[in-house]
Amino acid sequence: MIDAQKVTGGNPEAIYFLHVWGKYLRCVDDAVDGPDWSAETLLRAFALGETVYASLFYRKHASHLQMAILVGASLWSIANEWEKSDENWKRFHAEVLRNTDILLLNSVCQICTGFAMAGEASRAMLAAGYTTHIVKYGKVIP
Amino acid sequence: MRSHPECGTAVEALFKRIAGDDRDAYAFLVSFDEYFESVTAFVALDNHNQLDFVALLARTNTVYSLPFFIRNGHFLHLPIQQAFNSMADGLAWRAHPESWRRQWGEICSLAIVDVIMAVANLKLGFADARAISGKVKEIAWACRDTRNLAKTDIPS
Repeated sequence: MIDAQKVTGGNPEAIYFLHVWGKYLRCVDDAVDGPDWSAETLLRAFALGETVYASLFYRKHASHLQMAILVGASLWSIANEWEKSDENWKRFHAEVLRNTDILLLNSVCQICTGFAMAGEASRAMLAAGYTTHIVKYGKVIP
Repeated sequence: MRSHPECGTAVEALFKRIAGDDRDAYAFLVSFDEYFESVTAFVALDNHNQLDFVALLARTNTVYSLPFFIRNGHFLHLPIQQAFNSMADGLAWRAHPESWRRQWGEICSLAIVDVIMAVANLKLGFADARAISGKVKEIAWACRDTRNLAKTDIPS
């Protein structure tokens, strides 16, 4: 679990942004991994995306956050493709790449609390990403 | 709507009239129109490709990072949410056995009008936006053939 207070230095706009971002990611994840590819779920995801980008924190820091989001989306797309690959190394890379939300968390942390805290937080976030995935799906790579 | 072979020119003129000399407003109208058209077509499909979905999520970010939205996101947020809500209503009712729901659903699916009118209100003020409101709806209705939606029994 990520400590939003610590990552944002208690910035309420950043905490709200991370809150809606988390909801957005869960909705996208449910659409992609879950059984529910309905128009309703997809539209909910697109509407949540707008809520994220309309937030004050995003609009204040879009010039910093946009590339973290676009690069993250691109890496996540690769992870989705490679996790089904026959090649072991691609599945292994996919297991790390799927945690692209860390790019954004790290960017928020850098904006709110600076480089040193971001370094500390990102290692905790990577460890949390690994543990969450293992608990949920088991170890993918033998 | 701008990609419609017959209505494209009218849409272009409408966007220019709304935006005036504000290039950011024009860029937002054009991008949002293309984006909303792509989302509409994507969600109406029976089979969705994951990679196309991710590409649309990236476009979601791009559209809402345009300077006009960055400046006016607080005004545009609810009209855009309402547009997605209407789109969902339109899709839910598009094949409904009751005729009136199919008809209302088709009108709901012209949801982009809410967003265009929100930009018009911002740029032109209420009186001038009100003056073009009927035209916006007329053009949106004429463009509905580009949508990948089931057509109802509403007479043309």
